Amino acid sequence: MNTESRRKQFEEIFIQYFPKARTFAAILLKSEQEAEDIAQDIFVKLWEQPNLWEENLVRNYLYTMVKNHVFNRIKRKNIESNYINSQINLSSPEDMTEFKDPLNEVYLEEMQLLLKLSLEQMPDKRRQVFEMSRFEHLSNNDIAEKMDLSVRTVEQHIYLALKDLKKLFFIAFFFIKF
Amino acid sequence: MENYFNRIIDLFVKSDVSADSQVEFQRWLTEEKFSGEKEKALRGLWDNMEKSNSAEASSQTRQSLRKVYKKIKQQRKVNIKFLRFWQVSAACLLIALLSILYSIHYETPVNADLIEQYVPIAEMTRFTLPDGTEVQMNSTATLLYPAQFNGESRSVYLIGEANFKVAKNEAQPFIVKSNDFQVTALGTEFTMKVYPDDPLLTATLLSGSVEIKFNNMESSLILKPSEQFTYNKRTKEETINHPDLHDVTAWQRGELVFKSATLEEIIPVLERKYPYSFVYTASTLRNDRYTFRFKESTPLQDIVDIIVEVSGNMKYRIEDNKYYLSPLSLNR
Repeated sequence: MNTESRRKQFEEIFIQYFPKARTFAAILLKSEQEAEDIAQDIFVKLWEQPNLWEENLVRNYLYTMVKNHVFNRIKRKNIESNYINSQINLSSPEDMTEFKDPLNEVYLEEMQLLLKLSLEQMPDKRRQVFEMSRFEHLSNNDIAEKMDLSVRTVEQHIYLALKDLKKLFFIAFFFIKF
Repeated sequence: MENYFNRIIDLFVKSDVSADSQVEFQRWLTEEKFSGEKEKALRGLWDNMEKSNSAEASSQTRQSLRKVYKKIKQQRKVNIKFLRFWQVSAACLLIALLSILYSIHYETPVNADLIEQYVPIAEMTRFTLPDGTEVQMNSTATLLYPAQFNGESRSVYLIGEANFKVAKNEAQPFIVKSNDFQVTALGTEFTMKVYPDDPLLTATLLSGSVEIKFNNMESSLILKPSEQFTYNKRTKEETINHPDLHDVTAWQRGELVFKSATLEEIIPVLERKYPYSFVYTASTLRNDRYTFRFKESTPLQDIVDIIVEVSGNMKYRIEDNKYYLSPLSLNR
Protein backbone atom coordinates (compact mmCIF):
# COMPACT_ATOMS: atom_id res chain seq x y z
CA MET A 1 0.00 0.00 0.00
CA ASN A 2 1.56 3.35 -0.90
CA THR A 3 1.74 6.11 1.67
CA GLU A 4 -0.95 8.24 0.13
CA SER A 5 -3.64 5.58 -0.16
CA ARG A 6 -2.74 4.35 3.33
CA ARG A 7 -3.25 7.86 4.69
CA LYS A 8 -6.51 8.25 2.85
CA GLN A 9 -7.85 4.97 4.17
CA PHE A 10 -6.68 5.74 7.70
CA GLU A 11 -8.33 9.14 7.64
CA GLU A 12 -11.65 7.69 6.56
CA ILE A 13 -11.62 5.41 9.58
CA PHE A 14 -10.37 8.20 11.79
CA ILE A 15 -13.19 10.56 10.84
CA GLN A 16 -15.80 7.85 11.40
CA TYR A 17 -14.53 6.35 14.60
CA PHE A 18 -12.31 8.81 16.44
CA PRO A 19 -15.24 10.88 17.83
CA LYS A 20 -16.99 7.67 18.93
CA ALA A 21 -13.90 6.32 20.68
CA ARG A 22 -13.26 9.65 22.39
CA THR A 23 -16.87 10.07 23.51
CA PHE A 24 -17.04 6.52 24.87
CA ALA A 25 -13.91 7.10 26.96
CA ALA A 26 -15.14 10.55 28.04
CA ILE A 27 -18.49 9.39 29.38
CA LEU A 28 -16.86 6.67 31.46
CA LEU A 29 -13.96 8.76 32.74
CA LYS A 30 -15.88 12.06 32.88
CA SER A 31 -12.75 13.74 31.61
CA GLU A 32 -12.43 15.15 28.08
CA GLN A 33 -8.66 15.49 28.31
CA GLU A 34 -7.97 11.93 29.42
CA ALA A 35 -10.40 10.62 26.80
CA GLU A 36 -8.64 12.58 24.07
CA ASP A 37 -5.25 11.15 25.16
CA ILE A 38 -6.57 7.61 25.16
CA ALA A 39 -8.25 7.92 21.78
CA GLN A 40 -5.08 9.41 20.25
CA ASP A 41 -2.87 6.64 21.61
CA ILE A 42 -5.21 3.99 20.28
CA PHE A 43 -5.22 5.47 16.80
CA VAL A 44 -1.43 5.75 16.82
CA LYS A 45 -1.39 1.99 17.37
CA LEU A 46 -4.08 1.44 14.74
CA TRP A 47 -1.94 3.21 12.14
CA GLU A 48 0.64 0.45 12.55
CA GLN A 49 -1.90 -2.30 11.87
CA PRO A 50 -3.55 -1.74 8.49
CA ASN A 51 -4.75 -5.34 8.51
CA LEU A 52 -7.33 -4.26 11.13
CA TRP A 53 -8.83 -1.46 9.10
CA GLU A 54 -11.70 -3.54 7.86
CA GLU A 55 -15.11 -2.28 9.10
CA ASN A 56 -16.06 -5.18 11.38
CA LEU A 57 -12.60 -5.75 12.79
CA VAL A 58 -11.98 -2.13 13.54
CA ARG A 59 -15.22 -1.75 15.46
CA ASN A 60 -14.43 -4.65 17.76
CA TYR A 61 -10.79 -3.73 18.05
CA LEU A 62 -11.53 -0.13 19.01
CA TYR A 63 -14.11 -1.16 21.60
CA THR A 64 -11.66 -3.55 23.27
CA MET A 65 -8.83 -1.06 23.18
CA VAL A 66 -10.85 1.86 24.55
CA LYS A 67 -12.30 -0.32 27.27
CA ASN A 68 -8.89 -1.65 28.31
CA HIS A 69 -7.34 1.80 28.36
CA VAL A 70 -10.22 3.24 30.37
CA PHE A 71 -10.10 0.36 32.87
CA ASN A 72 -6.36 0.71 33.27
CA ARG A 73 -6.67 4.46 33.90
CA ILE A 74 -9.33 3.86 36.51
CA LYS A 75 -7.30 1.20 38.29
CA ARG A 76 -4.23 3.38 38.29
CA LYS A 77 -6.21 6.30 39.72
CA ASN A 78 -7.65 4.11 42.43
CA ILE A 79 -4.16 3.07 43.50
CA GLU A 80 -2.74 6.58 43.28
CA SER A 81 -5.43 8.07 45.46
CA ASN A 82 -4.98 5.20 47.91
CA TYR A 83 -8.66 4.71 47.70
CA ILE A 84 -9.71 2.46 50.52
CA ASN A 85 -12.41 0.01 49.82
CA SER A 86 -14.94 1.76 52.02
CA GLN A 87 -18.48 0.54 51.88
CA ILE A 88 -20.78 3.49 51.96
CA ASN A 89 -22.88 2.29 54.74
CA LEU A 90 -26.28 2.88 53.37
CA SER A 91 -29.03 0.95 54.97
CA SER A 92 -30.10 -1.84 52.71
CA PRO A 93 -32.11 -0.74 49.69
CA GLU A 94 -34.85 -3.06 50.77
CA ASP A 95 -35.40 -1.18 54.04
CA MET A 96 -35.39 2.06 52.18
CA THR A 97 -37.69 1.37 49.35
CA GLU A 98 -39.81 -1.33 50.95
CA PHE A 99 -39.19 -3.21 47.76
CA LYS A 100 -38.46 -6.86 48.37
CA ASP A 101 -36.27 -8.66 45.90
CA PRO A 102 -35.01 -12.16 46.54
CA LEU A 103 -31.87 -11.19 44.65
CA ASN A 104 -31.16 -8.26 46.96
CA GLU A 105 -28.24 -9.97 48.54
CA VAL A 106 -26.73 -11.08 45.29
CA TYR A 107 -26.91 -7.64 43.76
CA LEU A 108 -26.46 -5.63 46.95
CA GLU A 109 -23.56 -3.64 45.61
CA GLU A 110 -25.40 -2.87 42.37
CA MET A 111 -28.49 -1.76 44.26
CA GLN A 112 -26.52 0.48 46.57
CA LEU A 113 -24.76 2.15 43.70
CA LEU A 114 -27.99 2.56 41.79
CA LEU A 115 -29.54 4.11 44.88
CA LYS A 116 -26.66 6.51 45.33
CA LEU A 117 -26.73 7.64 41.72
CA SER A 118 -30.52 8.03 41.76
CA LEU A 119 -30.49 10.10 44.91
CA GLU A 120 -28.13 12.52 43.24
CA GLN A 121 -30.68 13.04 40.47
CA MET A 122 -33.44 14.15 42.85
CA PRO A 123 -34.18 17.81 43.54
CA ASP A 124 -32.01 19.01 46.44
CA LYS A 125 -34.82 19.47 48.97
CA ARG A 126 -36.34 16.09 48.31
CA ARG A 127 -32.99 14.37 48.61
CA GLN A 128 -32.14 16.16 51.87
CA VAL A 129 -35.47 15.29 53.41
CA PHE A 130 -35.19 11.67 52.31
CA GLU A 131 -31.63 11.30 53.61
CA MET A 132 -32.56 12.79 56.98
CA SER A 133 -35.45 10.43 57.25
CA ARG A 134 -33.68 7.23 56.14
CA PHE A 135 -30.01 7.72 57.02
CA GLU A 136 -30.22 9.89 60.10
CA HIS A 137 -33.54 8.37 61.19
CA LEU A 138 -35.07 11.71 62.12
CA SER A 139 -38.83 11.93 62.58
CA ASN A 140 -40.90 13.84 60.08
CA ASN A 141 -41.57 16.49 62.74
CA ASP A 142 -37.85 17.02 63.36
CA ILE A 143 -37.16 17.26 59.66
CA ALA A 144 -39.95 19.77 59.17
CA GLU A 145 -38.50 21.94 61.90
CA LYS A 146 -34.92 21.70 60.65
CA MET A 147 -35.80 22.40 57.04
CA ASP A 148 -38.42 25.00 57.91
CA LEU A 149 -41.13 23.08 56.05
CA SER A 150 -44.56 21.86 57.01
CA VAL A 151 -44.88 18.23 58.12
CA ARG A 152 -47.19 17.65 55.19
CA THR A 153 -44.54 18.86 52.73
CA VAL A 154 -41.98 16.57 54.37
CA GLU A 155 -44.33 13.63 53.99
CA GLN A 156 -44.93 14.56 50.39
CA HIS A 157 -41.17 14.70 49.66
CA ILE A 158 -40.60 11.28 51.20
CA TYR A 159 -43.52 9.83 49.30
CA LEU A 160 -42.23 11.15 45.98
CA ALA A 161 -38.68 10.01 46.67
CA LEU A 162 -39.89 6.52 47.51
CA LYS A 163 -42.02 6.44 44.42
CA ASP A 164 -39.03 7.33 42.23
CA LEU A 165 -36.81 4.73 43.84
CA LYS A 166 -39.40 1.99 43.74
CA LYS A 167 -40.00 2.59 40.10
CA LEU A 168 -36.29 2.46 39.44
CA PHE A 169 -35.71 -0.73 41.37
CA PHE A 170 -38.77 -2.38 40.04
CA ILE A 171 -37.76 -1.79 36.45
CA ALA A 172 -34.22 -2.96 37.07
CA PHE A 173 -35.44 -5.96 39.02
CA PHE A 174 -38.09 -6.93 36.57
CA PHE A 175 -35.77 -7.07 33.62
CA ILE A 176 -32.81 -8.74 35.19
CA LYS A 177 -34.71 -11.99 35.35
CA PHE A 178 -35.80 -12.11 31.74
CA MET B 1 -33.60 -4.75 27.80
CA GLU B 2 -32.71 -3.25 31.08
CA ASN B 3 -31.20 -4.58 34.25
CA TYR B 4 -29.20 -3.29 37.18
CA PHE B 5 -26.05 -3.15 35.10
CA ASN B 6 -27.54 -1.28 32.16
CA ARG B 7 -29.42 0.93 34.54
CA ILE B 8 -26.38 1.96 36.55
CA ILE B 9 -24.27 2.65 33.47
CA ASP B 10 -27.13 4.51 31.86
CA LEU B 11 -27.66 6.69 34.91
CA PHE B 12 -23.96 7.43 35.25
CA VAL B 13 -23.53 8.29 31.59
CA LYS B 14 -26.55 10.57 31.39
CA SER B 15 -26.14 12.63 34.51
CA ASP B 16 -23.72 14.83 36.39
CA VAL B 17 -22.55 12.89 39.38
CA SER B 18 -20.61 13.87 42.47
CA ALA B 19 -16.87 13.19 42.58
CA ASP B 20 -17.56 10.62 45.26
CA SER B 21 -20.06 8.68 43.15
CA GLN B 22 -17.73 8.87 40.20
CA VAL B 23 -14.97 7.09 42.12
CA GLU B 24 -17.48 4.57 43.38
CA PHE B 25 -18.93 3.90 39.95
CA GLN B 26 -15.53 3.47 38.35
CA ARG B 27 -14.36 1.11 41.05
CA TRP B 28 -17.55 -0.92 40.65
CA LEU B 29 -17.18 -0.98 36.86
CA THR B 30 -13.66 -2.40 36.96
CA GLU B 31 -14.32 -4.96 39.68
CA GLU B 32 -14.15 -8.59 38.70
CA LYS B 33 -17.52 -9.48 40.20
CA PHE B 34 -20.21 -9.84 37.48
CA SER B 35 -17.65 -8.73 34.89
CA GLY B 36 -19.58 -10.62 32.20
CA GLU B 37 -22.78 -8.66 32.85
CA LYS B 38 -20.89 -5.38 33.01
CA GLU B 39 -19.11 -6.22 29.77
CA LYS B 40 -22.45 -6.87 28.08
CA ALA B 41 -23.87 -3.56 29.27
CA LEU B 42 -20.75 -1.65 28.18
CA ARG B 43 -20.73 -3.33 24.82
CA GLY B 44 -24.38 -2.35 24.40
CA LEU B 45 -23.50 1.25 25.16
CA TRP B 46 -20.72 1.18 22.56
CA ASP B 47 -22.91 -0.45 19.90
CA ASN B 48 -25.66 2.08 20.44
CA MET B 49 -23.33 5.01 19.96
CA GLU B 50 -23.47 6.34 16.44
CA LYS B 51 -20.29 6.49 14.48
CA SER B 52 -19.85 9.72 12.59
CA ASN B 53 -21.61 9.46 9.24
CA SER B 54 -20.48 12.67 7.65
CA ALA B 55 -17.39 12.44 5.52
CA GLU B 56 -16.39 15.86 6.82
CA ALA B 57 -14.40 15.97 10.02
CA SER B 58 -15.10 18.60 12.64
CA SER B 59 -12.27 20.99 13.42
CA GLN B 60 -11.77 19.18 16.71
CA THR B 61 -11.33 15.85 14.93
CA ARG B 62 -8.95 17.46 12.43
CA GLN B 63 -6.87 18.76 15.30
CA SER B 64 -6.78 15.30 16.91
CA LEU B 65 -5.72 13.78 13.60
CA ARG B 66 -2.80 16.20 13.36
CA LYS B 67 -1.70 15.23 16.87
CA VAL B 68 -1.97 11.54 16.06
CA TYR B 69 0.24 11.99 12.99
CA LYS B 70 2.74 13.87 15.13
CA LYS B 71 2.82 11.01 17.64
CA ILE B 72 3.24 8.45 14.85
CA LYS B 73 6.28 10.39 13.62
CA GLN B 74 7.77 10.62 17.11
CA GLN B 75 7.21 6.95 17.70
CA ARG B 76 9.10 6.13 14.54
CA LYS B 77 12.12 8.06 15.76
CA VAL B 78 12.12 6.14 19.02
CA ASN B 79 11.78 2.87 17.17
CA ILE B 80 14.71 3.61 14.92
CA LYS B 81 16.90 4.56 17.86
CA PHE B 82 16.18 1.72 20.21
CA LEU B 83 14.89 -1.12 18.16
CA ARG B 84 17.69 -1.69 15.72
CA PHE B 85 17.87 -5.27 16.91
CA TRP B 86 14.21 -5.89 16.11
CA GLN B 87 14.66 -4.39 12.69
CA VAL B 88 17.41 -6.83 11.95
CA SER B 89 15.38 -9.77 13.16
CA ALA B 90 12.30 -8.53 11.31
CA ALA B 91 14.35 -8.32 8.14
CA CYS B 92 15.54 -11.89 8.63
CA LEU B 93 11.98 -12.95 9.27
CA LEU B 94 10.76 -11.24 6.11
CA ILE B 95 13.29 -13.12 4.02
CA ALA B 96 12.26 -16.37 5.65
CA LEU B 97 8.60 -15.48 5.18
CA LEU B 98 9.08 -14.76 1.49
CA SER B 99 10.95 -17.98 0.92
CA ILE B 100 8.32 -20.00 2.72
CA LEU B 101 5.50 -18.17 0.97
CA TYR B 102 7.22 -19.11 -2.21
CA SER B 103 7.43 -22.74 -1.15
CA ILE B 104 3.77 -22.81 -0.09
CA HIS B 105 2.77 -21.37 -3.46
CA TYR B 106 5.07 -23.74 -5.19
CA GLU B 107 3.51 -26.76 -3.56
CA THR B 108 -0.10 -25.70 -3.87
CA PRO B 109 -1.95 -25.08 -7.11
CA VAL B 110 -1.69 -21.59 -8.52
CA ASN B 111 -5.26 -20.51 -7.86
CA ALA B 112 -5.05 -21.05 -4.07
CA ASP B 113 -5.10 -17.61 -2.49
CA LEU B 114 -3.43 -17.19 0.86
CA ILE B 115 -5.48 -15.94 3.76
CA GLU B 116 -3.92 -14.13 6.66
CA GLN B 117 -5.33 -14.47 10.16
CA TYR B 118 -3.92 -11.96 12.63
CA VAL B 119 -4.64 -11.67 16.36
CA PRO B 120 -4.14 -8.19 17.86
CA ILE B 121 -2.42 -7.56 21.18
CA ALA B 122 -4.47 -8.59 24.20
CA GLU B 123 -6.79 -10.88 22.25
CA MET B 124 -7.13 -14.52 21.30
CA THR B 125 -8.97 -16.18 18.50
CA ARG B 126 -10.30 -19.59 17.59
CA PHE B 127 -11.34 -20.65 14.11
CA THR B 128 -11.49 -23.61 11.74
CA LEU B 129 -9.32 -24.07 8.68
CA PRO B 130 -10.89 -25.19 5.37
CA ASP B 131 -9.90 -28.83 6.09
CA GLY B 132 -11.68 -28.85 9.46
CA THR B 133 -8.53 -28.37 11.56
CA GLU B 134 -9.30 -26.28 14.64
CA VAL B 135 -6.84 -23.52 15.42
CA GLN B 136 -6.60 -21.41 18.54
CA MET B 137 -4.19 -18.48 18.29
CA ASN B 138 -2.59 -16.41 21.04
CA SER B 139 -2.10 -12.60 20.98
CA THR B 140 -0.06 -11.09 18.14
CA ALA B 141 0.13 -14.41 16.29
CA THR B 142 -0.23 -14.53 12.51
CA LEU B 143 -1.22 -17.53 10.44
CA LEU B 144 -1.11 -17.74 6.66
CA TYR B 145 -3.06 -20.49 4.96
CA PRO B 146 -4.52 -21.21 1.52
CA ALA B 147 -8.24 -20.83 0.90
CA GLN B 148 -8.25 -24.46 -0.21
CA PHE B 149 -5.89 -27.27 0.66
CA ASN B 150 -5.56 -29.15 -2.59
CA GLY B 151 -1.86 -29.87 -2.92
CA GLU B 152 0.00 -32.90 -1.71
CA SER B 153 0.16 -31.51 1.79
CA ARG B 154 -1.76 -29.01 3.91
CA SER B 155 0.86 -26.29 4.54
CA VAL B 156 0.35 -23.21 6.72
CA TYR B 157 2.80 -20.62 7.96
CA LEU B 158 2.85 -19.49 11.59
CA ILE B 159 4.41 -16.58 13.45
CA GLY B 160 3.61 -16.64 17.15
CA GLU B 161 1.80 -19.20 19.29
CA ALA B 162 -1.07 -21.45 18.27
CA ASN B 163 -2.70 -24.75 19.07
CA PHE B 164 -3.77 -27.08 16.26
CA LYS B 165 -6.32 -29.87 16.47
CA VAL B 166 -5.57 -31.41 13.13
CA ALA B 167 -8.39 -32.99 11.13
CA LYS B 168 -7.41 -36.50 10.18
CA ASN B 169 -6.37 -37.00 6.58
CA GLU B 170 -3.50 -39.40 6.12
CA ALA B 171 -3.22 -38.80 2.40
CA GLN B 172 -2.50 -35.11 2.97
CA PRO B 173 -0.15 -34.41 5.88
CA PHE B 174 -0.66 -31.15 7.81
CA ILE B 175 2.50 -29.02 7.95
CA VAL B 176 3.08 -25.91 10.05
CA LYS B 177 6.08 -24.00 8.82
CA SER B 178 8.03 -21.25 10.40
CA ASN B 179 11.48 -19.81 10.01
CA ASP B 180 13.74 -22.91 9.69
CA PHE B 181 11.36 -25.03 11.76
CA GLN B 182 8.49 -27.18 10.64
CA VAL B 183 6.08 -29.64 12.17
CA THR B 184 4.34 -32.31 10.11
CA ALA B 185 1.26 -34.01 11.54
CA LEU B 186 -1.38 -36.49 10.54
CA GLY B 187 -4.40 -36.50 12.91
CA THR B 188 -3.15 -34.97 16.10
CA GLU B 189 -3.21 -32.07 18.53
CA PHE B 190 -0.18 -29.93 19.19
CA THR B 191 0.87 -26.45 20.28
CA MET B 192 3.60 -24.49 18.62
CA LYS B 193 5.34 -21.27 19.66
CA VAL B 194 7.54 -19.35 17.22
CA TYR B 195 7.75 -15.65 18.07
CA PRO B 196 10.36 -13.68 16.12
CA ASP B 197 11.60 -11.92 19.28
CA ASP B 198 12.01 -15.18 21.21
CA PRO B 199 15.10 -17.31 20.51
CA LEU B 200 13.27 -20.43 21.70
CA LEU B 201 11.05 -22.34 19.29
CA THR B 202 8.83 -24.91 20.94
CA ALA B 203 6.40 -27.56 19.83
CA THR B 204 4.40 -29.61 22.31
CA LEU B 205 2.53 -32.71 21.29
CA LEU B 206 -0.73 -33.34 23.15
CA SER B 207 -1.84 -36.45 21.26
CA GLY B 208 -0.96 -38.38 18.11
CA SER B 209 2.45 -38.04 16.57
CA VAL B 210 4.38 -35.36 14.70
CA GLU B 211 7.64 -35.05 12.88
CA ILE B 212 9.76 -31.97 13.50
CA LYS B 213 12.35 -30.59 11.13
CA PHE B 214 14.73 -27.91 12.32
CA ASN B 215 18.21 -26.47 11.89
CA ASN B 216 17.57 -25.38 8.28
CA MET B 217 15.57 -28.57 7.78
CA GLU B 218 18.74 -30.63 8.18
CA SER B 219 17.75 -32.35 11.43
CA SER B 220 14.53 -34.09 12.23
CA LEU B 221 12.93 -36.17 14.97
CA ILE B 222 9.59 -37.71 15.91
CA LEU B 223 7.79 -36.49 19.02
CA LYS B 224 5.77 -38.75 21.33
CA PRO B 225 2.63 -37.55 23.12
CA SER B 226 3.21 -35.09 26.03
CA GLU B 227 6.77 -34.40 24.90
CA GLN B 228 7.89 -30.84 24.35
CA PHE B 229 10.64 -30.04 21.89
CA THR B 230 12.58 -26.80 22.32
CA TYR B 231 15.13 -25.44 19.89
CA ASN B 232 17.29 -22.41 20.59
CA LYS B 233 17.86 -20.39 17.43
CA ARG B 234 20.95 -18.68 18.83
CA THR B 235 22.83 -21.53 20.47
CA LYS B 236 21.38 -24.26 18.19
CA GLU B 237 20.66 -26.33 21.29
CA GLU B 238 17.77 -28.78 21.21
CA THR B 239 16.03 -30.33 24.22
CA ILE B 240 13.06 -32.57 24.91
CA ASN B 241 11.09 -32.18 28.16
CA HIS B 242 7.93 -33.52 29.65
CA PRO B 243 6.17 -30.36 30.82
CA ASP B 244 2.91 -30.15 32.71
CA LEU B 245 0.44 -30.09 29.78
CA HIS B 246 -1.95 -28.01 31.85
CA ASP B 247 0.72 -25.26 31.88
CA VAL B 248 1.44 -25.55 28.17
CA THR B 249 -2.21 -24.98 27.32
CA ALA B 250 -2.74 -22.33 30.01
CA TRP B 251 -2.80 -19.50 27.45
CA GLN B 252 -5.77 -21.11 25.71
CA ARG B 253 -7.76 -20.58 28.89
CA GLY B 254 -6.49 -17.01 29.24
CA GLU B 255 -4.18 -17.93 32.11
CA LEU B 256 -0.57 -16.89 32.40
CA VAL B 257 1.94 -19.40 33.73
CA PHE B 258 5.66 -18.79 34.20
CA LYS B 259 7.91 -21.59 35.42
CA SER B 260 11.29 -20.46 36.77
CA ALA B 261 11.42 -17.71 34.16
CA THR B 262 13.57 -14.58 34.21
CA LEU B 263 11.96 -11.16 33.89
CA GLU B 264 13.59 -10.90 30.50
CA GLU B 265 11.50 -13.87 29.45
CA ILE B 266 8.34 -12.75 31.25
CA ILE B 267 8.13 -9.19 29.90
CA PRO B 268 7.75 -10.05 26.18
CA VAL B 269 4.87 -12.36 27.10
CA LEU B 270 3.14 -9.57 29.03
CA GLU B 271 3.73 -7.16 26.15
CA ARG B 272 1.92 -9.49 23.81
CA LYS B 273 -0.98 -10.13 26.12
CA TYR B 274 -1.61 -6.52 27.17
CA PRO B 275 -1.56 -3.28 25.18
CA TYR B 276 1.34 -1.91 27.21
CA SER B 277 5.08 -1.87 26.74
CA PHE B 278 7.87 -1.94 29.28
CA VAL B 279 10.82 0.42 29.47
CA TYR B 280 13.82 -0.53 31.58
CA THR B 281 17.59 -0.66 31.57
CA ALA B 282 19.37 -4.00 31.43
CA SER B 283 20.77 -3.51 34.93
CA THR B 284 17.26 -3.19 36.43
CA LEU B 285 16.37 -6.79 35.68
CA ARG B 286 18.41 -9.32 37.56
CA ASN B 287 18.73 -12.90 36.52
CA ASP B 288 16.50 -14.19 39.30
CA ARG B 289 14.01 -16.86 38.24
CA TYR B 290 10.34 -16.67 39.14
CA THR B 291 7.39 -18.99 39.06
CA PHE B 292 4.01 -17.30 38.72
CA ARG B 293 0.51 -18.44 37.89
CA PHE B 294 -2.09 -15.78 37.08
CA LYS B 295 -5.71 -16.62 36.55
CA GLU B 296 -7.74 -15.59 33.55
CA SER B 297 -8.00 -11.84 32.86
CA THR B 298 -5.84 -10.67 35.73
CA PRO B 299 -5.30 -6.93 35.20
CA LEU B 300 -1.74 -6.10 34.10
CA GLN B 301 -1.30 -3.72 36.98
CA ASP B 302 -2.00 -6.49 39.48
CA ILE B 303 0.61 -8.66 37.77
CA VAL B 304 3.23 -5.92 37.83
CA ASP B 305 2.37 -5.15 41.45
CA ILE B 306 3.08 -8.75 42.36
CA ILE B 307 6.27 -9.02 40.32
CA VAL B 308 7.64 -5.81 41.82
CA GLU B 309 6.68 -6.94 45.30
CA VAL B 310 8.29 -10.35 44.89
CA SER B 311 11.48 -9.03 43.26
CA GLY B 312 11.90 -6.52 46.10
CA ASN B 313 14.39 -4.46 44.15
CA MET B 314 12.26 -2.56 41.68
CA LYS B 315 9.62 0.10 41.48
CA TYR B 316 7.48 1.18 38.54
CA ARG B 317 5.45 4.05 37.20
CA ILE B 318 2.97 4.09 34.32
CA GLU B 319 2.96 6.75 31.65
CA ASP B 320 1.22 6.67 28.27
CA ASN B 321 0.78 2.88 28.05
CA LYS B 322 4.30 2.27 29.23
CA TYR B 323 5.51 0.73 32.44
CA TYR B 324 8.81 2.26 33.49
CA LEU B 325 10.77 -0.14 35.66
CA SER B 326 13.62 1.24 37.73
CA PRO B 327 15.80 -0.08 40.55
CA LEU B 328 14.63 0.68 44.06
CA SER B 329 17.10 3.07 45.67
CA LEU B 330 18.22 1.60 48.97
CA ASN B 331 18.85 4.85 50.81
CA ARG B 332 15.35 6.23 50.93
